[in-house]
Amino acid sequence: MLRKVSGTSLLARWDPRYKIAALLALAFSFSAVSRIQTIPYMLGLLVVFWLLSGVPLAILGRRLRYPSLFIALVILMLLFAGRGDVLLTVGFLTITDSGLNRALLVAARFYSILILAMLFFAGTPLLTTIRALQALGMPYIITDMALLMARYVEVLHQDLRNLHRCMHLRGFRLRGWSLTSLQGVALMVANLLLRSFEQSQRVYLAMRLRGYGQADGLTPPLTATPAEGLFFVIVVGIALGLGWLG
Amino acid sequence: MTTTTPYVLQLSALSFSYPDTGRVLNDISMTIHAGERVGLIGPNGAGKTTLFLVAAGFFAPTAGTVELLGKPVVKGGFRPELGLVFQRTDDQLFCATVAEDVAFGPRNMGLSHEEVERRTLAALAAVGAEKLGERSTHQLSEGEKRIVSIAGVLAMRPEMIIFDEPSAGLDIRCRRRLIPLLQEAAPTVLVASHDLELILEVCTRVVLIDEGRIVADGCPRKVMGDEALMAAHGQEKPHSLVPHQLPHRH
Repeated sequence: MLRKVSGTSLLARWDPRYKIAALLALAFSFSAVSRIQTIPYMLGLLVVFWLLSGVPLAILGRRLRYPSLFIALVILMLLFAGRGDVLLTVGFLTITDSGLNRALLVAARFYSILILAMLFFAGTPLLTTIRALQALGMPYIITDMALLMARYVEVLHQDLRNLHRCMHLRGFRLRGWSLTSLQGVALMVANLLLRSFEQSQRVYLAMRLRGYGQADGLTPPLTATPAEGLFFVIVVGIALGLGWLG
Repeated sequence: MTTTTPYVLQLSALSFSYPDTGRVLNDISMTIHAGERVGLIGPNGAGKTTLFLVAAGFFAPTAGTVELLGKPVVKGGFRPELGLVFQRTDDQLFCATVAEDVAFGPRNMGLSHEEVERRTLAALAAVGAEKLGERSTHQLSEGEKRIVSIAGVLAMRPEMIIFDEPSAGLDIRCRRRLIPLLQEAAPTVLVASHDLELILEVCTRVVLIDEGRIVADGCPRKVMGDEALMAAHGQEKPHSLVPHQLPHRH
């Protein structure tokens, strides 16, 4: 996530184990916020973390485009669905104070948690994050699967592109929902699935040959300074305070 | 071929069948001694890759035995003394970064982190890929992937390395870079390839296999120079062994 951001910022250099734990604490406290008056504190905290992360606003904005499409629909529904004092009427739709409150709360929670996750993991390589998850006790089978997915998603994408090009060169065109189009897509997907299955078997052989399953796996030591620990305690304290404000 | 040096790999009356096919390997007996560079040639479907997989302990032979450095190879066992470089590099490079991939084997051998790091750096240096350490494996060119695959096996310091079609998909320059690596990668190597010129350049002994049987075993120039034998088993005499009949044009 946000690979273009340099890994030299204070937040990027923070021990990933602390980062994951702090993010969870903050995410829980953000999701517990139920009063409009607490939203400015959340946003203030977000600005502090943004400054610590050094992530350019333009990159953040680009990353928020697609999640925004999803949340916009939910916010619209909440805005017009509440009961209470009518604030505004648009045709047959009315915006009430409770609807507005709920929409604001949901939007603030959603964006705060999402942006926080982006800021926390900007500049941290995926591998480091996965290693941190292992260090925090996540089962190896899950982290190994995450690593393999990260590795092979590119290969699958390349395979899909090649398959599509080959079909295109031999006259296949995707035309709406016609039977021929659907058959072509089904062939492509089935082919990709079969190839992936066969490749997964070959990869497993290669892994076994290099000792997969013999030792604990990929866990080089992660080191953290006392200052990083102290920062973690402060962040968790802030999260608890925010949860208390509610 | 010498019989006084100790053997590294010994296949005795080895046969193997997949559940849904006939015999893929048929009564194969072969001994590879320390320091030998053996080429394995034969047509597609001759059983070369299956032979490697049985030798590495992925499949249990239906008959016969496999011994590596005097100890039987058990199905599913981990024998770091034997390295295998697969034909498809994307199967071999399963970690996200080059350094992680090269470190994968040593880490599974239970070595200390310092030793793992030392071996990783040494293996990358041995193949001239020091600068690739932090690169993502999926971003490498095919030649780089091949080199890094070899580094991943070298880091385990095996007694013997098996290469399955090492020059497949490589351009002339990468192929040229590969040859000294094959010659010096490990004390003992077994190379399967359709690139007969490569076999001639790298190997001190060649084994011709067809329909799961060994049909010839000996000096590469002698075996591959036998036009009738090669043709009978779907092979061509390497170009460099054919005497020039026409003068070069200038």
